[in-house]
Amino acid sequence: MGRGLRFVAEQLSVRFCALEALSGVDLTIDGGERVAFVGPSGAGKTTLLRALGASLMPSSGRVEVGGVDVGRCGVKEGRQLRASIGFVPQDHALVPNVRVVQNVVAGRVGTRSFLGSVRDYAWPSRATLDEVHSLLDRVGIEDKLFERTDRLSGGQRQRVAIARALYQRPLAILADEPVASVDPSRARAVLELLTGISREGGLTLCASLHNVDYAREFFDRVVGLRAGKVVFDSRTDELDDARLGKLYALSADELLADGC
Amino acid sequence: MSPRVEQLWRRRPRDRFVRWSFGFIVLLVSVAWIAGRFSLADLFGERRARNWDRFLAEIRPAPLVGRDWDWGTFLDWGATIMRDRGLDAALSTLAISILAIVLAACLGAVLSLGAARNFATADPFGCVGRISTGSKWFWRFVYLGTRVGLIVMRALPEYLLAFVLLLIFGVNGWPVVLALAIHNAGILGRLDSETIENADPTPLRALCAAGAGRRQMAVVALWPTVFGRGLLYVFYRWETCVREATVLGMLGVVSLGYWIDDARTRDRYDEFVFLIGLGVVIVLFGDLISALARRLVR
Amino acid sequence: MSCLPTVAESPAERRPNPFRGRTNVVVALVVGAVWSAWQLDLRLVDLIPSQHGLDVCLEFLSRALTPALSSEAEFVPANAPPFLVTVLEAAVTTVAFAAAAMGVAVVAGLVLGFLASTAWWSCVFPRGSALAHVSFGLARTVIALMRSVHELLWALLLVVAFGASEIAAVLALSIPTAGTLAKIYSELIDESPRDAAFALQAAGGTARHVFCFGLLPRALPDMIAYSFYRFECALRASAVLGFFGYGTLGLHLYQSFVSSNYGEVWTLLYALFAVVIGFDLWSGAIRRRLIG
Repeated sequence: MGRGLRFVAEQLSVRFCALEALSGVDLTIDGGERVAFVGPSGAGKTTLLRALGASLMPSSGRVEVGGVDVGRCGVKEGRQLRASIGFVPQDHALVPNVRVVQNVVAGRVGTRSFLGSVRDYAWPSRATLDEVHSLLDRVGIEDKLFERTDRLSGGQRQRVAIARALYQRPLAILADEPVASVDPSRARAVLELLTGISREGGLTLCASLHNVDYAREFFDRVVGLRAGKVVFDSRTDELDDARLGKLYALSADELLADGC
Repeated sequence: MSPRVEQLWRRRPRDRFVRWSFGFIVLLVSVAWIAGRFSLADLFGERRARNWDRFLAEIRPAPLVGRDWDWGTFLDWGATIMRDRGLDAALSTLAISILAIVLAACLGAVLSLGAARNFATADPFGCVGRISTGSKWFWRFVYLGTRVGLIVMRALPEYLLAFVLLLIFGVNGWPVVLALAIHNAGILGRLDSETIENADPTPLRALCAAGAGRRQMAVVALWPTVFGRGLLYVFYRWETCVREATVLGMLGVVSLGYWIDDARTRDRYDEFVFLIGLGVVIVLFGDLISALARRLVR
Repeated sequence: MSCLPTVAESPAERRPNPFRGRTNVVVALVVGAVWSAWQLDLRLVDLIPSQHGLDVCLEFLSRALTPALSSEAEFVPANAPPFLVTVLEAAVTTVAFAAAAMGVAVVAGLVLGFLASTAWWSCVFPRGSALAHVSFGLARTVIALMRSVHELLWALLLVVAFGASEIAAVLALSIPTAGTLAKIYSELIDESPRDAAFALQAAGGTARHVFCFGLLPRALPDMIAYSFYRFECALRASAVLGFFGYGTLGLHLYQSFVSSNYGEVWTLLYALFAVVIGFDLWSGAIRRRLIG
């Protein structure tokens, strides 16, 4: 279905020193599928997204993106792989003191030469400006093209980050907590935007969410994570409340360990 | 380029002030290099080369001239200089810087209150209620006066200030210490006042509502909040103070600079370079202590 | 891969340290101040100026509102330029020395600052190399040595080594300035938030991309603001260089002081204030716009 990337994780584990962020995750995401990762803080959602995005090497197990084994590919292949995945980080990760257009243009660093990127960044061509403008139009903030990024609201910055990911011409979009810092009505709009983009281009979409209702409303499939393990993995229409209750019922130990 | 993009480009927010400032600075530097009499040839002419050779010959320690290098002799020579004046001069340099920065910190802490926009008004933190015109003008005067005073204090170079104070107080340690203290109080006062202005006003409003007066607020709430950051600034400035204290000795007060200048006027370039090296050691020692202290304060 | 601190490690760090805390630092400062007064043999009596000092002080202060507009020297050569022209020339020379020195210092500071920043080396050689370690250590050492000798001592040293020339003064100003700029630049680059850099890495950027578009733009406003502040310091230092015979404001200040022409001194002081305070206000305005 579509041209989106297919992700496969087999017995995927990621360790940070003594902390095991992911342990033995098995997951297959088909091209063009829209999947939400839900679970309490510290469940490993961000780590899973970064591992799927080929920007984190698995400690054991393997990750396959579009048929390429992430652990085995070289530096150049890794860059090409990352260039084909649009990653929208949780805190937007924009440079605040430059114009919006520069932040968006920086998205294509994966496929441009260094001097080409410098040219795009400092003296963008007319065609580049038009392309960025149409992307900003798609995400709904076309009038902010030349605005300084730190003059934008939180929701607008989120849109700039999405535009930057789209400027990569990605085959998949991984969004980490895309609605963590916006109010409910704007959260809906952002999720409509992301799923709409995914539907139009047949892009694979993975997003981590805190809110299960949004996951039900906008996504095809929901994966529940807890303490680095997949607790459940089902189609949205088959999801029942008992499983969700289990996911969020924290034991006392886990409550105390939260955020560590 | 589509018309809409062009329209947006014409309407783009621009900071002309920063742009012009930047251009002006570049122009200034270019003009200085083109019109000024600065030429690298002055450093590398034939006469300069001879001068350089002579300098290299003369920085060889006196007991070693015309002989092979011998570490024992060199150390003896160094130890003699240290015993005669080096050690005492080094300690005096440190002493000048420490006393100066402590005085500057105290003076700066007091002045920072007058220069803080949110404290030096008739109605600090919005809880006084009735404001007479007289007190309004009084505080406006205090605020502006302190601001101007701080600017003047830090605009005066320490060296010049010490020179003037030496004419007034005669040759003893005070002029140098006071010159350093005044200049640094100007800097610390401004930094502290900025910290006060950025302080969270809610506890202060609560304090004010509980009936605290101006002096109580300063002692109980403002200084404690500024304290940690202010102490960091004190140590940053102390590093500069050590450098300056070395140099101010050249005005005739017994710090390292005095002996450096003394060696130069006696044409003893071996001692001159040795004492500058001692200055480097003191400064690096100061930087080390300051880094340790800042880590403790954080 | 970064090693995040885990719960198991933190209790050892939280062990109470008897030398930790601000009280000890303050006590040390007070003890240091008392020792300093003893070491310098300072007495409060010396703070009362002698009759002569008092006279000088009063005479000096009494001219504050009546600065000289023409030369007060007893003998003025017939071909000497008017006093105010001399003052203007000295002020321009002061600015010129500082500007020329800053030009060199910013370029040298940028180069050294990159070489001394861990972010730069981790971008150029992500896997580390002997060359990187040596260059990094060398840059740090050079910066420390440049910084630890004062401008005026550099001036003396260069004059002794090469003979007196304008370029020696400019270099003397620029060497410690370049060292300080390099230190601050490297700290600002290393301490600027890494989030945008990680995002560009995740988009497939190379190390150079990440440094140029992720790290550098974030640190740039602070770097510019700090450079302006150092320019102000260079102006003061440039004025003081006059005490060593260069044609800046310090030269005329010294001459007028020793010949007790206090009216001239005040004119020169006001010129110095105009230059330094003017620049201070200007750089303050730029800082507010860049950093907000």
